[in-house]
Amino acid sequence: MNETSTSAPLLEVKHLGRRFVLPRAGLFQPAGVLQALSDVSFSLQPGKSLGIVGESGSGKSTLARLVMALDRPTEGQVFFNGTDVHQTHGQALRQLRSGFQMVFQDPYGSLDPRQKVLAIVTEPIQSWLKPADGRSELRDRAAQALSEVGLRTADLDKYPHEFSGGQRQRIAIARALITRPALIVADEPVSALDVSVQAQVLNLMMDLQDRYDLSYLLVSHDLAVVNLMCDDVLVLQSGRVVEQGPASQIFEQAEHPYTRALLAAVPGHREDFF
Amino acid sequence: MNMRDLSSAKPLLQVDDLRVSLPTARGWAPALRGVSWRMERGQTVGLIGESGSGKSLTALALMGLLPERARVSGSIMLQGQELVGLPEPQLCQLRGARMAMVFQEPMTALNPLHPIWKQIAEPLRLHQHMSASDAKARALQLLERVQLPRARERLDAYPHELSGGQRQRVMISIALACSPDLLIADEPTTALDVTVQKEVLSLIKQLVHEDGMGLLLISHDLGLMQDQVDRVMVMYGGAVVESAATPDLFAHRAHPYTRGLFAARPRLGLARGTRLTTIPGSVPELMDFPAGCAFADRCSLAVDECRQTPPQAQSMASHGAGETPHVVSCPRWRLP
Repeated sequence: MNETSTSAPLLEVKHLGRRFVLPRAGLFQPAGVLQALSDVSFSLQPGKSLGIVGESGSGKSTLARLVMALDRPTEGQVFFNGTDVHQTHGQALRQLRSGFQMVFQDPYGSLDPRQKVLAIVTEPIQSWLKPADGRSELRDRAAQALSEVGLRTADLDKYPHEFSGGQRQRIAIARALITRPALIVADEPVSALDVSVQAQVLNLMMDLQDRYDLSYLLVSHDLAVVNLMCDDVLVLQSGRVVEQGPASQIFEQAEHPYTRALLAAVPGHREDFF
Repeated sequence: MNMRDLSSAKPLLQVDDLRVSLPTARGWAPALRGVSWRMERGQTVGLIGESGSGKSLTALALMGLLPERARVSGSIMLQGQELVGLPEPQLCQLRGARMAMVFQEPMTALNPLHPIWKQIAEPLRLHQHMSASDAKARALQLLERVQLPRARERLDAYPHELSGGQRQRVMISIALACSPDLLIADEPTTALDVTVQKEVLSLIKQLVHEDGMGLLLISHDLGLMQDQVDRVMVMYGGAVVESAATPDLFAHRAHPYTRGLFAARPRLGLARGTRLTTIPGSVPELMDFPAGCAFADRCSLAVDECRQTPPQAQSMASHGAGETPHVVSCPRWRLP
């Protein structure tokens, strides 16, 4: 355990901020400004998980998009393996991106309904595939990724609508795994799933973490899920960090009133019947 | 109370052996397989189940909103009036007046093109033939009752100007407009933030209590049920597999599916990395449910008999000593 804590962080976020300029309310009024995120800093070691907790509008998804280099920050930097992702462009960014992948909330909206599973799962590697790699190489990689998530090779030739919500989320995870990333940013990965399916997907994510020493940046409103999956927690309110630290500490003795309110709001918080 | 007490000899709602089949490419699929229960005014009943368990279909059957080609049998008596087979014009007179529904998704259930007061006024004008100005005044009272902040200014607001929690309050005020006897809330807080969820649920609970109506609360969230309803029914595969007074169910889970559902839920206090207990397999297609117990193919206690013969509902004598018996549809529930 000591080696990981002293090694270089996989992901380092320094004083990250994002400001949005709002539409003008009138022709002669100055445009409003929304500070969606301000001064967020954290670092994540290989094989560890960080949970980002907060309500809608707290800046969770903005943070995830900035880490994924899907949006540009107005302040601060994001370093992946020591490289500033927002100062990297073109082919170099594509290379860098193969190290971090994303899984989205809605397994119905995040898979193209007109593409077969083969095309969906291999999309992240198609752009940097060498001409020498043939169709069969692509298919092999996809089949391997599917077997990692508990699906079959025959599923490669099906369309998303032929799968249940839980299976679709497995496909989304396979798509993220195919580049063999070190970090997966998961934005509410199980909140659209039924309880029993949720358990299967969470177990799968923990198994993959153990197998490949993956790191997760897990965005969630469900504190019970974060408690199960994450080593560290960062609590956001209105774009600001109100509390951050080891999960055990935050769940056992939350200091900020907002964190306490979130904890108290967990349905069935009372432990007596479990 | 009021005039309605005179009809109290008849239960608010009595559902007997409700069966619904839906047409699929492979023939008629049984979506509800004999659901029965009875509830009185002032009672709150929770329906728990996962996708495909038939809980939303049960709500739609009560409201007469099933797909047109669905086949329905059995009986739904609302204060002694049979709803199964009732022609559409009569159903229209009941919906929104004597029974009302709060839907899951307040973003899509409201009409984006009308200001909210018009949407609250619609049932009032339709059922109580109120004038526009009276209906608008009543809409304001209703918005104040659901504790929408700055209600007077918001009468003319459109749905997009409100937050999710505020929209759900508007939905509730529409449902309450004509003081229904039965309120059905289908996952009313799924789309909302956790802290807002709690506010909306306690608002529903308070309003139901004040008006003494019956509440059918539908949810997949077990923890949420615990604080909100007197009685819980657990559904799987179109049938109620277990029902009990809420504290009894939470204290003694009998059906293997109920036990599996509780065990699968992540909860605070679990150690980091603990693997959750899962229910093997997945919910089958409607056509592929076993003829006997719907859960048989996923159940570790199942024997051949379970797959062939539908299980009989049996009362657990040891608890449920109060008015609500603890009923479980599984012959093998005594096994650990």
